[in-house]
Amino acid sequence: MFKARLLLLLTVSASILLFNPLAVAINLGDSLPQMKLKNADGEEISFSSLLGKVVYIDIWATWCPSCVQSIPWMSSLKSKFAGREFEVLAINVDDHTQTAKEFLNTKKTSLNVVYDPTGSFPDSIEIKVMPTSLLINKLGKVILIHEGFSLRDTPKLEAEIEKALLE
Amino acid sequence: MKHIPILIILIFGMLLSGCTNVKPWQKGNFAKRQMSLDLDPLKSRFMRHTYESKEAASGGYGFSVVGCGCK
Repeated sequence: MFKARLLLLLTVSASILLFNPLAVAINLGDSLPQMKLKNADGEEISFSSLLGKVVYIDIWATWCPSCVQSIPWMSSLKSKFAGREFEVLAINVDDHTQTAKEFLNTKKTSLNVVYDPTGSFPDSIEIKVMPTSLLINKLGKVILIHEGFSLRDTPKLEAEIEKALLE
Repeated sequence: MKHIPILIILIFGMLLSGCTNVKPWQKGNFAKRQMSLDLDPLKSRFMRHTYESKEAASGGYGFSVVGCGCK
């Protein structure tokens, strides 16, 4: 009888854990989880393919006003650091990928966007706010975690990118 | 009667498994206009202004916790 109760208790505990899996927040110096996300053309882009480049990763959604505000700036980064080992990767987390695609069509941006409608990437790194951006150095390590977006933050972010490119 | 404690554990387990935080990237629905507690903020502001002028008192309008919580 005791064994049966214990078994039941373990089953219940396991089900609680399964529904609430433990995730570990990403920290400075950590590597990104190995993941592949698809872009608008259906091509898979893996984080490992970005090794050797400084990468600015931004997690955004169309319903997030600050995220939308950051898009023109992210597009400008591409031209600002053109010809250097730098990449911007915008990870869209809208439930409906089509919404984001239509939104981007209106913005006419050449931003490198991948889609994560299930939120597997932000879930794996446990982000706290939207938007969150990460700066990854050439070795694939996180060197900056930036929460939120304001145009006032951009000089500091650009300086960090420049510093990472010179390393 | 013997199974009551087990049933209680089971029910609590089921209820607790439903206790989950809405993650920041899942708050898209909160950002929708229909989720707002105040559908006409301009009108509400106007009404508040009138109320404050009439009553010579302000505050105590409650709070609003809707929106995507974006930073």
